[in-house]
Amino acid sequence: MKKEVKTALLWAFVGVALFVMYVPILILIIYSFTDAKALGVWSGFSFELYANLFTDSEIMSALGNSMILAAASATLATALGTTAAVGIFYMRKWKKSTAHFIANITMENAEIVTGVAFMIFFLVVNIHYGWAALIIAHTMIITPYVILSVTPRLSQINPNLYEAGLDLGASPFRSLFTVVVPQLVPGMVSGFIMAFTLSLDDFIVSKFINGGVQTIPIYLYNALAKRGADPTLRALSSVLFVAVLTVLIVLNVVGARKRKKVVKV
Amino acid sequence: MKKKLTSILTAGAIAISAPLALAACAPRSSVLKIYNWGDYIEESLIGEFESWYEEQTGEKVTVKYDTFDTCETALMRVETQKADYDLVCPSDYIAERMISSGLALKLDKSIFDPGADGLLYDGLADIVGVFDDGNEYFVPYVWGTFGIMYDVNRIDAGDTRMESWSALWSDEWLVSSGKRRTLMKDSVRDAYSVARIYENRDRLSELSDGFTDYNSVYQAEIGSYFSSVSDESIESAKNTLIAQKKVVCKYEVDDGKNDLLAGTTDAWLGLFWSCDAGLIMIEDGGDHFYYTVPKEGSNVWVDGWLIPKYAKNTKAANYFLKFINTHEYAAINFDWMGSSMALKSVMDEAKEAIEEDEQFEDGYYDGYKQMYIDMMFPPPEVINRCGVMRDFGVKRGTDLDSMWIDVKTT
Repeated sequence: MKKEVKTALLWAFVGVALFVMYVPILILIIYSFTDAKALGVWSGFSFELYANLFTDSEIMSALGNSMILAAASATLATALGTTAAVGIFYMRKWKKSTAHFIANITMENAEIVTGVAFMIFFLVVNIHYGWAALIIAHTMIITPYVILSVTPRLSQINPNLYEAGLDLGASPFRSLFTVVVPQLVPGMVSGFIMAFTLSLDDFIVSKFINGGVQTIPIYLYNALAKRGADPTLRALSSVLFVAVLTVLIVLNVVGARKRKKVVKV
Repeated sequence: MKKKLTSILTAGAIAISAPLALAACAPRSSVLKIYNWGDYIEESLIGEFESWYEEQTGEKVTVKYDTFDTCETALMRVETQKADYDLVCPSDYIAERMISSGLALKLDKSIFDPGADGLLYDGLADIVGVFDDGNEYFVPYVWGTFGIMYDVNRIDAGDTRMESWSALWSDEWLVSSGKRRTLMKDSVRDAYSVARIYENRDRLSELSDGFTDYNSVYQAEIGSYFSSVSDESIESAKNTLIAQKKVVCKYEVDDGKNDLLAGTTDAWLGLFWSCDAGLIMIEDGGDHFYYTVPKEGSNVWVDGWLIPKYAKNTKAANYFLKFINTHEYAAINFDWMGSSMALKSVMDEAKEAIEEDEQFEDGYYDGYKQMYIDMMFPPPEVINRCGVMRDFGVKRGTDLDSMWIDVKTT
């Protein structure tokens, strides 16, 4: 097959895939600018849904809760995940694979299994369902992803620099935090963003242990359950989608610019 | 190094403890925890209640409002997780389960008494009295019936064939139009109940003298379809439901009404709850639907408030019940909810307003106004032919669920 035809087909395939993935979301966004109750009916351009969104105290508090929860658990996960990644990187053989296995347990389990496990765990340990339970559970679920983000960076950095730091008189801690960690920052940042998004997204585990603290996915699910789709939810989904998209675009643009600036040693 | 480590740890500790500390600030007696269905109360009433409570008692209260998606989740939270909600809003059969297993607290009738004469819509107190003798625990909130809703552009408004459940089994429209036109609820309780009523329609006809006299014998019979389950009844309902499949276009719970409204479905009729029917009739494009409760009998469903066992602020809970049943606030809630509500005065007022509205039927088909009134404000002859869902218990519940899976996968 000619090269041009191959390339064209490839692009066509990519185009179709992107279309199938994003058109439903685009439809949702377009229909968030009308106040018709059913999706697919256009009853004139209006910002009413957005006005409702920002004055609805239940949605706003759920949004606040989601953000605080995501920020807290992503921060903890980044700290834990980075240190874990460094530790695992320097382990040998069976210790390394065991550590990997344990670190990935929550990632590899079905979420519903994790959710029920947490629910029973908190009941036994007598931690109240609510903020404490949510933050602990979320941190445990998203840490593996941070480890996954940081580990590649570890293999890219010069392994001798740590020892060079030790040779120059720094304590192991100092050498780690002044020499190694700053080089891991890009991995930590992308790990943090991924952790943040995953925490925002998390529904199944949260549902079991949220004990009165509403997060956005839980609010959405409950609002849809009894009386069907409240049109305000279209505005909410659009806002969330655009926000996450913006963050990702900014991250990639800034990252690309930085990479241009860096001179390979 | 050490500083960075300690600062990271401190930050983490603060992140965990800050929300905990904030939550621990307010004493429990000034917090009211409400656990309701999603999207089931007019937003502003929560803030209104806080000011109203202060006026009534001089004390401050903050409402913590949490939602659930199904009452089985609510039951799980109260029963297994021993959640300390002060108010929960289950459906009738779950309320019965909670009352009979001691998970509900008695109401403080000195603050609010749901059984007071003329407070609740006619007939409602008796209906819930079936599982809550003396109205000691349960305060009805939103209620309705289920019946057949159909598109009058396809089937004439008031068509007598639709007055019978046979319409949901009839292959008439399948034969005449070549496509399946019936929607059915993907809910085992509703499907089972309708199947039983349909199967036994001849017997019910005898007992009620051709559906003209819904006497107490008839009521006992239809009540038994909602409360008794046996292997034979499950088996025969299963066969009836499987026989229905050839005319069913889709099993749905929520999207049926939206699809009918948007015109994105082939269906012309279906089993619907009166609240859903009411919701779409007030929307743009919802002017061509007719809702009727078949003559063989149906179901009255009631969602209402209970004070669960582990509640810590029963005083504010009882006051909230009083608040939500105060005419002024109940009317605001009713306007927003669009569904039949329990408070008689609000219902009577709304019914009168519609009856006096000369232009209510403008732009609609003939007979719309009377149909709407009968749907939202069911007259005694409709209520008399309805039974209420009962708790089948855990084992029978599982049997029914298996039956439903069999039906759907055959």
